[in-house]
Amino acid sequence: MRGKVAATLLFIVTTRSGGPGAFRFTEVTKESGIEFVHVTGASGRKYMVETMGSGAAFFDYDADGDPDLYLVQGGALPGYSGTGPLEGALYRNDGSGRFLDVTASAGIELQSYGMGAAAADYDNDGDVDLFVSAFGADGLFRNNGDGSFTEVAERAGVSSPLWGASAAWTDLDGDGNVDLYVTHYVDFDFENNPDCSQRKGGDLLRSYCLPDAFSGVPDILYRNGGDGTFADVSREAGVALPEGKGLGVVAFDYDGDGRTDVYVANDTTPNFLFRNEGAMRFSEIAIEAGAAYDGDGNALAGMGVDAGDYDRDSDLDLFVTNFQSEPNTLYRNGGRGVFTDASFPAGVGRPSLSRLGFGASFVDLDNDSFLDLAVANGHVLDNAALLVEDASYAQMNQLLWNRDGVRFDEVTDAGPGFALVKVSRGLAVADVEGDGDLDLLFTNSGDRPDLLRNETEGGGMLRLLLVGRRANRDGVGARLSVDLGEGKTMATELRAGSSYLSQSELVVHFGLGARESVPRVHVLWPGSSEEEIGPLPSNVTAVVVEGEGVIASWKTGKR
Amino acid sequence: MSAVRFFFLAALVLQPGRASELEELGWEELRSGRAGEALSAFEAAIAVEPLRGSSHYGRGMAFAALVDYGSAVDAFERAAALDPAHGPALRKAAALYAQLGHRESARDALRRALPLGPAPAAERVALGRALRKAGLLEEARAVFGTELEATAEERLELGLLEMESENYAAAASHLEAAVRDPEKASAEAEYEYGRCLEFLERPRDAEVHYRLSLEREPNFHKARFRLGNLLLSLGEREEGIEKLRGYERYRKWDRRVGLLLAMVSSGTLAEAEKLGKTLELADLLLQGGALEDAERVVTTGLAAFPQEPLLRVALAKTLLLRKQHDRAWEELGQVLSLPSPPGEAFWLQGLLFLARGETGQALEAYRKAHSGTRDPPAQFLKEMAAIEALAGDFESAERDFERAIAKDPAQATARADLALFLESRGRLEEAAAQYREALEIDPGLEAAIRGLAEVLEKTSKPRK
Repeated sequence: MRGKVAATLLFIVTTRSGGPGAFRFTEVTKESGIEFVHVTGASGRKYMVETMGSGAAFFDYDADGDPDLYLVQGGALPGYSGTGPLEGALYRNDGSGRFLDVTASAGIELQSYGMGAAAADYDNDGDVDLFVSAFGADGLFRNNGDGSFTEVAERAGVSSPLWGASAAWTDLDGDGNVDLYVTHYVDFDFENNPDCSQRKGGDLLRSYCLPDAFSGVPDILYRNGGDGTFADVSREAGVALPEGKGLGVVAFDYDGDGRTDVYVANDTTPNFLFRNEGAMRFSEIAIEAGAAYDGDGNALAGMGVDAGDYDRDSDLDLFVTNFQSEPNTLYRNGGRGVFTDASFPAGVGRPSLSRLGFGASFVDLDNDSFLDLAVANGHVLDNAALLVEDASYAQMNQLLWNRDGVRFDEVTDAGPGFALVKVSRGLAVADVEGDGDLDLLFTNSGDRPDLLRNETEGGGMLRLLLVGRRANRDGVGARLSVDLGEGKTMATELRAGSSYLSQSELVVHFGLGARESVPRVHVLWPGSSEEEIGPLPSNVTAVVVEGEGVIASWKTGKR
Repeated sequence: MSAVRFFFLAALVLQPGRASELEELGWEELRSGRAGEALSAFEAAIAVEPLRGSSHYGRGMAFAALVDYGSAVDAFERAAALDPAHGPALRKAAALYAQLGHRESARDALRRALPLGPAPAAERVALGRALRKAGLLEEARAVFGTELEATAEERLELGLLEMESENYAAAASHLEAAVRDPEKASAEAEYEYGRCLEFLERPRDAEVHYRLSLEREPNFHKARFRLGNLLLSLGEREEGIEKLRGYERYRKWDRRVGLLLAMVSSGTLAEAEKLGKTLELADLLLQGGALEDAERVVTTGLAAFPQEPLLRVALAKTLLLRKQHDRAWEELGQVLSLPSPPGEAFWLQGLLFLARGETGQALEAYRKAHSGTRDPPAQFLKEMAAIEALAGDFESAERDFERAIAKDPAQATARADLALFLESRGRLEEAAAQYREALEIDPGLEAAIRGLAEVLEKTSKPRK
């Protein structure tokens, strides 16, 4: 028995990378060719919308195998005195992490104040399309396959004028087409802009209103008809709940029943977990699943959200970012369809109290086979330093290293990229240079984004590009379980939309530590066909076609 | 301030050397819950003897009772400046600084207070708690020192400090000590010990302590919530869901109270808005049974709006619920003597008559109140129905109970009261149905739990 324990410990030690001291990220935005600057459109009138920032999406719009980047622009608001065009930017990746601005030729022109982005091949024509949520009419840009896009939101039936925030594409009815879930925030407009001044000492300071000042707006679920149009099925599906003030969304199968469920992070109201009952019907069961409140029963200010199997027990856990002085919440999935708030025992809660979290991602940044956590931070009040002791508008982003599947350690020195102090909002993840480690992009409110190149000496990895046949073309919603040996299996799902207003690349990435190969990977495609692939060597990117297994693969790693 | 009190104060001020008597009067007023009057007395004492540290300390305590923390902290600092050995003033200042988020000032006040010797246990707990909540963990530890003969309350606070530091094993040791003596264990200590055990992956032990917490305080919503969640994770779904039912209603109440409190103490509201929010807050607190908090809010409100009859009615109502009937009559009398008292005053008069068992007069007062209100709230209708039932007007009683429920279908107590009425009329099946409905809304409603058990017992007994 002791021998087995010792062998297991030895295995853990030898398969881990360098630990929290090994991380290194360098900010390479400008040298990568990204010149975009986000504009809040602020004029001092303290419109709530101008403090929420905008997101970003990594997606391979030109199908050349590397992640391109779309950055959402805010816009001009009443009273704004700035000049010049305000539009989002599309950057084409040349494969080495150099980006070329192709906005002009792409024709992605949103007419509203942009918020979030989510990309998926909604028409299954082999190229990835783009949805942009907005304060005002949302945009849907169909990829023409020649580097240009056509705006089709109104024709497709997805141009809601409500204040849209994060969005997620996923196939909720198993018909082979991705449906679209769009969170909606609050009922704010320029005529409904109360004075939310706060007194500090003898001074009355004009400040942004918190969400309590406004009513919530129901989210929208669009069913993809498969003919290029969508139907708003929110009401009959059971997701049109007025109490929500949705900002973050992640679609994943929380109970392992083969149907994709939807989790929504609401700002100051209880979070929603919509259990997919089949036939596009959902039950809101967050309270009975332990995921509506934090462990002490507080409805926190939910912003961003991600799902990942951090404890490698084959079910997906949840991570939600919240307001300053509130802990970010780590909901551990107990496997009975019930989550437990593990934030404090796991070491995630305390380091978050001094920050206001937005973007969030479970991501294995050192490829040690444990999912770490990256968090985008920044206060919502531009005068936070005057109003709240120990608060500042600009804040440092955070990296939490997953020590052992139980406990996280805050990484206090992850290189110059994590030492930046900005007002961050969105967070998207991709391997932009094709070197096998995952890089991070933080969007910053009223500022340039930060692309952080991952220079960590990590372990090996396996990257899988999915191609659906009966399932949707990108395999969005597919659940993959990798056999890590020693009885450990880690699960993940391919998601189109998560974090805050953002989307990471449509690639399944497994960190493998020192393993030279994995014996098998189980793939459950949306719509329930399944297959097993493997053995697969480490440091490889493989293309997996539904029903055909691996049809191509190539070595991937540091050059 | 009443005229008698004013002249008494004036007489004392005019006699030099009477500062100590004025100060004593201030403490007496403070003990009786009259913070505004206490403040006047302490200020009168200071007028007589401006360098008297203890009077400034008392003034600080009065400001603190009036939730004017900025002025309170200034008064405590003044007391400490006049008497640097005034430990209580420095400790109160440190606690308030911490509460206000002024961490550096809290540290500084504490640095001056610690050499003055240990504080009494209750003060240590209050100060330690304020410092902990402000994130000043080392400073909070310093308050407790290495005293091993700690009280149960101190053990609880020490346990919470260790929890904050994520030393769960050490926390468990303190919290176990805090609940060891069942006579002294509080619901909060049982709850926190359960929480700590949950963090230590001992869910079944945690369950025991959440249950003990609820035994001590059935309306301890946080314990009910944690127990519900824990049961769900242990696969005991039915009881878990039953425990969580009704939680959202409480949470909304709690959040609204927090928001209103922040608004009325922010100093940013216009006068009329502040009055409206104060009344709303007082009403919410009364509905939630937070009587001491309600009294503090109303008293503070009256210090700002001394002529406002609705606030005085709210104070009288609070006093009634705190079973201080004489004081309630006294306060209400001031409103009823006005040329046109608000309908709410008659409503409260009805309640006070009812408390005296004078049903006829109570009903008369309610009818007066009703005639002045076009759209009476559910609570009013429910109470009127109860009085009608007591007065033997069963038809009106049933009608008004139903009106109350129609007005606010989520009010569990109205259903429980209707059930009791139906039970008293021998309509047991209807009563059981109403009790069940009440429990659907609020599973912890004692009256409904007890009532349903009684009805079920009656219906299960064979009829002779």
